[in-house]
Amino acid sequence: MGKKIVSLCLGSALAFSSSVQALTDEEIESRFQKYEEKIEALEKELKRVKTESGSVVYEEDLGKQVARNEKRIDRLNEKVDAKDEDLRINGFLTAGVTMADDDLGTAYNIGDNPSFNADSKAGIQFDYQLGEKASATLQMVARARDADAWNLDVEWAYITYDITDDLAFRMGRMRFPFYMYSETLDVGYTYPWVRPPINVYTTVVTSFTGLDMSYQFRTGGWNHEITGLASAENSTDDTANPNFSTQDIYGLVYLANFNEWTLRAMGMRLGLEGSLTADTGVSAGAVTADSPGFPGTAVGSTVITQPVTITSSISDTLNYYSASGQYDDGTWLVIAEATQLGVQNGTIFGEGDSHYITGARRFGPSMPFLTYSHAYSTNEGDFPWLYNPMISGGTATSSKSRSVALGYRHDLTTQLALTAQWDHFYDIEGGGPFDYGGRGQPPSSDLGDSTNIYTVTLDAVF
Amino acid sequence: MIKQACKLSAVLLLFLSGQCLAEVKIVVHSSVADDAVTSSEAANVFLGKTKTLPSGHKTVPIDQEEGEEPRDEFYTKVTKKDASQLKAYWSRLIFTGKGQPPKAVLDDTEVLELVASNPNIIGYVSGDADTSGVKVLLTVE
Repeated sequence: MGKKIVSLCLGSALAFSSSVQALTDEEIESRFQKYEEKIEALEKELKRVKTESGSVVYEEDLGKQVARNEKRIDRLNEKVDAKDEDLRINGFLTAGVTMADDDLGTAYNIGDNPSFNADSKAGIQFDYQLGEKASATLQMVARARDADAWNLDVEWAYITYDITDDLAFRMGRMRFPFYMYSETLDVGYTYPWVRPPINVYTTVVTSFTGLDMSYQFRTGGWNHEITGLASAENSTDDTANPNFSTQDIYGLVYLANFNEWTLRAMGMRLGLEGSLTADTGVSAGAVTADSPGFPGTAVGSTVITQPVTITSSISDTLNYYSASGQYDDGTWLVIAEATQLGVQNGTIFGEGDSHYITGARRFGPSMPFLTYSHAYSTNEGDFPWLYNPMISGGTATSSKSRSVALGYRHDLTTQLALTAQWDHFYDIEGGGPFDYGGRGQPPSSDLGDSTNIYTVTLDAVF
Repeated sequence: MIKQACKLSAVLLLFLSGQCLAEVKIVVHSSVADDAVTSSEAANVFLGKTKTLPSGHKTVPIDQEEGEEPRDEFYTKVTKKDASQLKAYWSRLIFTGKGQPPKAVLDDTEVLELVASNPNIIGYVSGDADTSGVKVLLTVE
């Protein structure tokens, strides 16, 4: 009786299913019987095994199982405790295509044709544990930005020593912590934009060799971190420019975090030493003949193509400050940063301020965002046309720029994001941020007071 | 018709079960002095911002593997980060050499086994897991 009902149900279910067709009642019945026989046979077999082996074997099995479980837990514990998991390798990659209305010079290598060179880069990092308290980190970044070929830079290469859980000491080559995101400048996956706002994040130097020490502490719900850094001599290692070196760098970074809030303040003092010989310093085409006060220049706008030799020794000190705030509640994201550059002697470098604010709203994997930024010189140097300054805010001549950027980021997987961004720069004077990236070629001379950049990137971490 | 009804009820069931499993419990060894943590204290531990519980007891967080339901529940509710945001967060620490994410074990069972056997481990399990051998510091709904 029960079987009949079951087969009826089965039959009706099959009849409704579109994938199984035209099975007659007899066929269903015979199949059902076959299954029933199989089950009966299995049940018999099971009974036989149970009576034959008795409970002794069963208990033995149980004992074995318990022992095995204990072993497994031990192994898990070892895995968790393991400080000896020696080498970790992590990587990141950005593949981007960028196009602007104008040729924006080599600071960003963005031109008026679609290019994969401007924003594409890849990096790999090795972390090697050296006993319980020390580790070695090496990060190499390859960029397509500099030239036709990809250049490999060692951005990080340092040893960390944990003096206590809260006090760490690092020595080696590290990133300048100028801004909130400057230490992960190349890891596009870590920020919403296709690249950090150009008006603020334009620096020639990104790494230094020296040491830093950071201390973490907590008050109430706040996490604080204070980092002090010091470095002696670093050359700008950019062969296209005069071989300046930064001397006696001291910096202090304070970072605080409370639930959704992150606050950050940075102050840095960079000494600059170097002799500027114009035949190495002013490369062909870097200075136009109508540059004010340039000795022996012809009238007109012809680009000087001959090396000029004037030697002057440079000794100056830059004071650079930034303040940043971030709110991130998982849905809304707001990031704001402001910088100020002061110059003591001001022979070559100008002074300047810059800031930006970004607002973003997440809808699941999608995140539209909007950025406003502004940079302007507050005081130009005495001979500003001689050399492009090193740090954003500093300007070759009186210079300013504003921008509005509209973007959209979509997390394709938990390791891959697609970002599209439209940057509109306006109110540009003196080349804006594109004139002082320091990689050699300034933007095209016909750059008006506005331009647009269109970018699409794929950012991955692995 | 019946098929459609079945589909509908299956979807409904999935939806309902998703709602039922939404609870997550934060667990430690029963010998730990702390009796409770707040959501933000738990977030600090699992985001690597602190290595101790409020009592000062040293603790190591243990994750569940990516894709496990309690993991997504835990991070969305306690740290307000989905899987991608969490990846971005840890990437910032990894690529500045400042930290590595917690190690992960398979599931609730492995977390409970570890927590029960090691007083220095903190983990999270789904709300319906049997937590009789460990101490529950926080139930997140």
